[in-house]
Amino acid sequence: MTPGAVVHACGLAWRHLLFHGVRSAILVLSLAISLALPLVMQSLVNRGETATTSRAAVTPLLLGAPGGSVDLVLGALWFLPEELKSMRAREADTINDSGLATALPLSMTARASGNPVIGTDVGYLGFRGLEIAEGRAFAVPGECVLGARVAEAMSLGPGDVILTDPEGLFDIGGGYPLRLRITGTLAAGGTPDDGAVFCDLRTSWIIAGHGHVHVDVNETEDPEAVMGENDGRPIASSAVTPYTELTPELLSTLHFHGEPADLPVEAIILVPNDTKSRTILAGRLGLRDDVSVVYPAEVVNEVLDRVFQIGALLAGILVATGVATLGVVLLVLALSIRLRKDELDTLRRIGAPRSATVTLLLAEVVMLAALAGVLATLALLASSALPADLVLRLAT
Amino acid sequence: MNEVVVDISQLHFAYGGTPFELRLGELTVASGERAALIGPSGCGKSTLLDLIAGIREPAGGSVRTVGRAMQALPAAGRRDLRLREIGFVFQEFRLLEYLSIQDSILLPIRLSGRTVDQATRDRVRTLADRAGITHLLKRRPARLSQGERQRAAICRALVGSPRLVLADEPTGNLDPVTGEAVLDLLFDEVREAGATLLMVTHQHEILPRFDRVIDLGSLNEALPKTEAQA
Repeated sequence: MTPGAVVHACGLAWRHLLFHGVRSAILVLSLAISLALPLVMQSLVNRGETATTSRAAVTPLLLGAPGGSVDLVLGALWFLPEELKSMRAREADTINDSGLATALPLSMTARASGNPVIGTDVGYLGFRGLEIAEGRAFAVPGECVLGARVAEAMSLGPGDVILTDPEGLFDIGGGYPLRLRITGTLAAGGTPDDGAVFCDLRTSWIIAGHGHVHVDVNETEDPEAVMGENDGRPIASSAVTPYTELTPELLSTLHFHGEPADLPVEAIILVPNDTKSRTILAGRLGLRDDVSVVYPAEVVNEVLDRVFQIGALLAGILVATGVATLGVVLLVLALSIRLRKDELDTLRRIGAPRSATVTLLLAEVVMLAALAGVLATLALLASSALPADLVLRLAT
Repeated sequence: MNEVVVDISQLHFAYGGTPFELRLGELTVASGERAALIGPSGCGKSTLLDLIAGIREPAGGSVRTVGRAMQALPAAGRRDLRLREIGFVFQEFRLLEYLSIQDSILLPIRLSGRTVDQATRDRVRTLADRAGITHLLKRRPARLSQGERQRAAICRALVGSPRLVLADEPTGNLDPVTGEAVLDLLFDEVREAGATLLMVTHQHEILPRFDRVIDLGSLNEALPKTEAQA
């Protein structure tokens, strides 16, 4: 068979596929889905494993209130909205004073436009290797920096503001949302930090109602702000701004309900000075009943073991489905060849070389498979745009 | 005497598992001859065309087509001979549904690996002009009438300038008027090409148009003979 005849046989196959466009499209899609699902699944699991273990691996120790270690790790490392018990902030001070480690407290109860607001020490940014893409880090209560994904999604940057979500929408006695001034945005890192808002620990206490400032309605520019007086005290009207903003003037009136050291934090990341310090800290804290110390890497490995067991089961099901689909596709092709009996007989009678007929049929299968392969590859590439920790989020 | 294009001697063929048998003593068709092959259904007319074209292999005897002993040729050689030297016209047209009429006509050229050059395109155009289907070259068979499809099939059979054209009831599916027009085309083109025509037909009214009529019902020695034939 000459090269020209091979090319022509391939051309015939292509025209046949185009002529039966709907049938070809269904076959290509079926094959592509059968190929893509296990590949995308495996890719997500692999990327998830890498991203998850690497974040846990660089978080040496985690301190929280007694309770579930998995919830503590998922909350402190991935800011997943778990109801974590709190402990006193003084635990961080004690650890810092011990000289064994640096303590990075985390308060994670607030949200802004649905994104977690993480009250912490500014040292957290350096610990996670988070770089300021624009502006500067938060410095005083009322300031915040936005994770890259939040900044991009909300088109916000330094100089803009973001309101925290009200704790209870229908609780008219609840605290007002806090208007946070954005001082900077973080560079994207492909981690959960991209989807969070970071502020000073005191800011999150204010959001939670553990501290407040006093607004003097007599000094507001809005003449409607004061409705009247009662025993010489102004009565604020409903014209008062329905949120709180910590302006530099108001910061002097900021005070907390109690000692800041007694206010709650949900987790404390411990960064020991060395291995020995870590061992000592883990030993000391492990003896206490009122706190729980965990190695995030160990906890994550336990979670991943479960995730991967489910993933392996799912992959098995997908492979079985893929094999079944492949069987159906082969059956369709076999039936198609039977339906093309007259066509093949015509080619034989005209004198088409057997190799041309075989090439015609094989080329069609190869083209279908190639198109399906291209689609599956595109799906695989598209899946790389999904967050690396998607599997963990879905699993939890 | 003209060159012999089909030369059959002591041919024997049988389909396994059936009582059908074909036994021919001697049969020749000369170059340029237009021969009709007639006989009752089941006497082996289509089978004889297949044997002449090398689509089937005889159990005994010899078949020489355009000077080549078919038994001596391997399957690939017989296919190549069909592609280059023999044109086939079928009762049911057998155009590929997914090819345009132009590509259908060019099919034998392309399958043989030959380049479709300007001369070939001109030949297609000439054939299509004579067949009156030039305006249909870009269409697919489904959009053509039966007569137009058979005209296209005749163009396909003749595009490679074959020495022998085998036609198996080419007007069997056509109405009399269309059938007559298709026959005109077939005869004209075969004459123009200087080819030999061997055509199976049941239409006795067209037999006068042929140079010769071969009654396979009489020639097939395996068939029981009627009193008249005997």
